[in-house]
Amino acid sequence: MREIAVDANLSHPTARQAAIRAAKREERVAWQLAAPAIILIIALILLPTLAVFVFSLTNYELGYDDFQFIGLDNYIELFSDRTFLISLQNTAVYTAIVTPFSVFIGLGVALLIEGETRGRAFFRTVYFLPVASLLVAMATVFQYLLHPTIGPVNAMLSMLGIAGPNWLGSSSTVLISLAIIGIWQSVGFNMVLFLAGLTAIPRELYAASEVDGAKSSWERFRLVTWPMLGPTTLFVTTISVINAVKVFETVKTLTEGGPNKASEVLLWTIYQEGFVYLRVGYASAMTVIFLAFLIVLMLIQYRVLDKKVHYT
Amino acid sequence: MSAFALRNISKSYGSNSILDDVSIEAEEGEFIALVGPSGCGKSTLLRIAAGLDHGDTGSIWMGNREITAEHPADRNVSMVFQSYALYPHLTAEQNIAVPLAMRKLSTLQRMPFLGRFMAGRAATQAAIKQQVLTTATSLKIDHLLDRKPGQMSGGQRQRVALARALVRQPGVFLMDEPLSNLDANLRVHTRAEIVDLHRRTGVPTIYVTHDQSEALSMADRVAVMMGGKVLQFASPAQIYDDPRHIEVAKFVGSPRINIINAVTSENGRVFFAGKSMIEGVTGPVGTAVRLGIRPERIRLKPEGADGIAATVSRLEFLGSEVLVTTDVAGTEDGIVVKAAPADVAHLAAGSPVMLQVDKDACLVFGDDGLRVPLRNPVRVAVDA
Repeated sequence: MREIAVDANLSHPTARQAAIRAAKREERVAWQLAAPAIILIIALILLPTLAVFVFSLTNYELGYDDFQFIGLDNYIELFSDRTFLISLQNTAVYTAIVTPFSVFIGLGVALLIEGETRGRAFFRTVYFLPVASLLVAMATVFQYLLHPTIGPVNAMLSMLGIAGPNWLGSSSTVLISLAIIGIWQSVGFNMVLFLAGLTAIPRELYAASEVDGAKSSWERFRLVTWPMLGPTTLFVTTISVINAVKVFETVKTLTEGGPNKASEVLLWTIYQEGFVYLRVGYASAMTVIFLAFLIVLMLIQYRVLDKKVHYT
Repeated sequence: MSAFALRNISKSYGSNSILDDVSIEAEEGEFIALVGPSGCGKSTLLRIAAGLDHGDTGSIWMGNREITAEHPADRNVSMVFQSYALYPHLTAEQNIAVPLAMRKLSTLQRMPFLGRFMAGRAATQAAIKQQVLTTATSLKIDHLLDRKPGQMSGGQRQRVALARALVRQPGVFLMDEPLSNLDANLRVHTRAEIVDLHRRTGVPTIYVTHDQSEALSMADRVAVMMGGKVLQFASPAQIYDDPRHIEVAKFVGSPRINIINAVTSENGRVFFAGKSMIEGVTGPVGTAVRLGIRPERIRLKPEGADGIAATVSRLEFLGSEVLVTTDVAGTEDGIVVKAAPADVAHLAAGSPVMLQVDKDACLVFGDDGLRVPLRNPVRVAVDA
């Protein structure tokens, strides 16, 4: 042992060379092992994103052979494009409705299921069904349910003496109707995530809170459940925001952005520009804006909030 | 009237009996240890005492007040958990303050933001802060008050958990293996601190542990539990010297008590290896009995002396003493002797020795495991 220590102190040339060689070998192996993943990330994520960014600086339209770089013209046009601005606003409103409701209803359902031993598997499955079902197929069901004249929702409302609105057909209610469908679809997923978070809370914390004087379940929720679910809630909120911003299927199948652009949302606008009007350059600029929004949201959530929900 | 009592508690899950008619009581200022192997029901009993679990039968008393049906929050008990169960999102100070805040502040006053504007909150909170500081100082953790549990060592967390239990004067302290997550050194140290703390506060304490040495060294009285029953509830000295059941004798003491199978002869004599070990054992001649002999009650003598012939099979040097395991004809596991290092310096594995058992050292147990009474008490039970 002592001789080795002395060698190291004198930085014996051969020993140092051996160490450098070993480090280089290790580095080479590391790159080799990481290479498949790196290549896939570049080919499937980074290059397409870069391509979208490059397209966004051109006037490329699908079917034309030729295109010019037009700098930031697409972006300048975007911010005076009434449809795009309405679309941004509608997406924000939709997200602002769907996220809190789907998070808190998901949490509530998870707490109810967790609190009851009987039928746990049954309720878990039932609430998860909308997640597993095809939204495009389910949209026809909602179209029937929310139909102004033959729909059961308005039929029930009229029994209570309320004249139901034209849910999907009126510009004042269409966004709310879509939001309700969005909430219906995402509650189950959030519930499953919350259930997983709940099982991770140590039972002894609840015991301690009871002995410490938390008599009501609300007090135990405030003292133990809510703080301990912090990381789960952050994750669920993030996922819910992303999913809400990406709303498309219900808009495509039920409203096509109407009536009068009242359900015009980002992805729908991008789809229209890119695949209907074939203005790839312009649609790419929208996509870049859309991506930028998501990245900013993620940064806020993981840079700022993450510190507040992890306690160790 | 005892300060805290559990009377005739039974509990079973289906046909699986967890607790069978268990009664334990603690006098004012008494330290009670519940000790037993895992699964003996001691933790369940403690949870029932706290109100976190409920027995099928039996009652729980705090002085002359029955609290069987009361919510844990109303029982005026405080509890220290094995995992400490500190709230990870709160600082040490906030953790210790929880039991006070829950009791002294109304729900409205505890509301976030809104609570700040409720009348009387500031004064109560200042009082709580002061009380937390006093408790923390007495446990020497006042410098940790701003830290969260994740930033503390196991020993520090354990003190915060103790402080949280201590901060309000409870009617009884319940401790569920509070030391088992600490390393060996800290465990012995904290053991003494808990006993000191108990002396200072005088709050009756029920302490659950699976470690018999912890139970014997800390408690005024020890309840040895096995299979959901209390086999013996007595002072540590009685538990050790005068066990009522062979399982108690086997559970306490390290190294374990030597057990020898034998049969009674006339006059209640019991012979082993041709030597009379004890006389005056009651019951008919020819009864199978088991003799229990503590390792420190056997002397090693040189070959040729009077005694039981044995061969040394293993020597374990423990510093102040040496454990000598010997092979003896007629025993399965041999006989272990605790000896002074100087006395066994000349011995090695394979050395022949003679074993002399102290005159009154034999504890006699029947087939059912219970102690067999002696006709003429050979030795008087040690008084606590």
